[in-house]
Amino acid sequence: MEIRPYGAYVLYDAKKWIPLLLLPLLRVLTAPLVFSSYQDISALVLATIRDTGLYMALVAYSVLRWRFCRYQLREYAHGTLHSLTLTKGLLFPNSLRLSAEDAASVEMECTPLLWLLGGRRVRINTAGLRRRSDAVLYLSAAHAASLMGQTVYRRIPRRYAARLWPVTIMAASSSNAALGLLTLAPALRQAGQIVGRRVSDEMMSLAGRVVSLGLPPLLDSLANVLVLGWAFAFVRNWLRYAGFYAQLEGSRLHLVSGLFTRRDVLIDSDKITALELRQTLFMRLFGLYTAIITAAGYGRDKGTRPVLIPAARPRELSDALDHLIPDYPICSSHLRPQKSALFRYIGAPLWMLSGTLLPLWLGGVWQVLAALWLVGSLWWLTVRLLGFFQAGFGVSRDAVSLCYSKGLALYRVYVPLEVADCAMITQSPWQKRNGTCTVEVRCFGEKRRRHRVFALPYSQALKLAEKLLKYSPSRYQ
Amino acid sequence: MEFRAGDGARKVLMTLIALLTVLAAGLIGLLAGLFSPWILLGLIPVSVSGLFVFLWYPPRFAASLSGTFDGTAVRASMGVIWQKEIFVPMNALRTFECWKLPFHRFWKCRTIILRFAGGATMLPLLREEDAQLLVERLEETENP
Repeated sequence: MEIRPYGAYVLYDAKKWIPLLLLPLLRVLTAPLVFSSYQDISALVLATIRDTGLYMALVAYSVLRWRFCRYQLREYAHGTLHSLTLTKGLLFPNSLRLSAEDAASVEMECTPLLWLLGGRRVRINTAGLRRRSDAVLYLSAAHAASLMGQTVYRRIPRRYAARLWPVTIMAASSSNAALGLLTLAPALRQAGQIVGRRVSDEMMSLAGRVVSLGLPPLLDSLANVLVLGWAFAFVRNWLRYAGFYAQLEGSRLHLVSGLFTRRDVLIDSDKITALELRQTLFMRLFGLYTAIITAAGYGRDKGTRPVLIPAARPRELSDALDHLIPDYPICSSHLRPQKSALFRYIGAPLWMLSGTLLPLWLGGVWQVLAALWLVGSLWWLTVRLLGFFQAGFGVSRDAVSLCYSKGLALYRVYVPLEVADCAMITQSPWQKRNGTCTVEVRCFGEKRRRHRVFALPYSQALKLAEKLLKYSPSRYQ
Repeated sequence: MEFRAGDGARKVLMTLIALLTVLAAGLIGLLAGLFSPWILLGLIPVSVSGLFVFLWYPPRFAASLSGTFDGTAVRASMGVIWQKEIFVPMNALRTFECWKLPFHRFWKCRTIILRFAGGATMLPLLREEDAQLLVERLEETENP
């Protein structure tokens, strides 16, 4: 069956030419500085017409690309999809063939614009190491649904639906930086007031008075921008995960997310290479976790996060994981960091905390900075302290587990033994003295994340690494 | 089988350190010509540290690199200041490369790169005969 791309293809393809429209705009804006006579203005109009003509020609090129693009779907006799051949390009034509069996994940996206036009964008990824999707198709809603349906082996679905309040809390705290900005904004406002008052009291010069008038509104505006930024991040995350649900369909996971931009993702559950439970400090207060998977072929496009469960409490999380990935192996992280290595975890935040003394000593407006610094340092210190008590490394017959803190979040990572590619044990000179080491386990992931646990006892870590090799299933025996 | 870095690794590292020191000295000379002759004083720490590293580091690195392959996994340890131990199970190995750069050929050593789905790791400057044997054993295990 041969299909032409949906008309929305032209809109999305022509989007890349939009910056060119800035040229006539810039010309009009700079015209008063350059032109003076009527003759010059006619030249300006002519140049603008030429630019617009060029843009229209590029849009016409996009239309031609659409005309020459073809999707060819081959099916087996019993109706399931066999392969897809994508032919595209006008000046440099090329064709790409994808076997349905090789598709590690398929994502159907419906943005508000596509919804209005009745189209869908379908991204198909194989497990190869590429920066973008292997194929992006623009199809009508009916064709896209049929393609998604064909790639799914249907059985009784087991469904998990995310509840709204955990998602709201997750959206509010998903960006630690955003939460920091929320605390920064009132402080900035206060700093603005103090600066305004002090500068006007202490500086009698004209420049000082201008500064005293200008600084408070400037800092106030900055605070407003920060709050707006956080609000934007919150709304974006909330819209992405509100109404999220996941179900297991045969051997594939079907994830549906987004209120405005709806995303249907099908992931081959055999391609999952790591399960990650993430917790920020704010989420820890409510006992919530986010479950993220690393799957070959999914999550390579910018902005895609392979979230399996946006936010859930341990019992709900455990039930959902039992339903969604019932055979996924996990194990306990029984090897803990040495107690003497506590400073390795909390050293950096303690140094940062001691840095508050300087602005405190300077006094005045710097006290506000000191308060901010103190809050940030305490936040980091708490995360690192929790990270120390949670950190660990474990190996069983089926899985490797690593618990660690990174940035401002805590992670528990479970990697099936057959995809644990490499274990590395590193000892720095000061780790050698106290008999500790850093353990790193590598597995396949589109984002190339590294999982590292610090300050583990060296001899026991070595034994576990040997255990990993011993239990690792061999293809060659 | 066991593998380790030989005398070739020491010579390659000595050559590289000497080249880097000469390059750093050249850069200092260039900066001195452009700005001030006082910058030439920087040659003293560069030369002293270069000489120290030239004499101290290569033999220790060559002695630190060793490993084994038993048909199921590659184990290797290396490093002088930061010591690293690597464990790569055979089932994770996708491809392997054997590098023979001009310096390598001259001093009879090879660098082997083990590639797996999650990245790659390097076994640098192995003895030529050890590297060849390791490659043969890896090939044998992959295609029995």
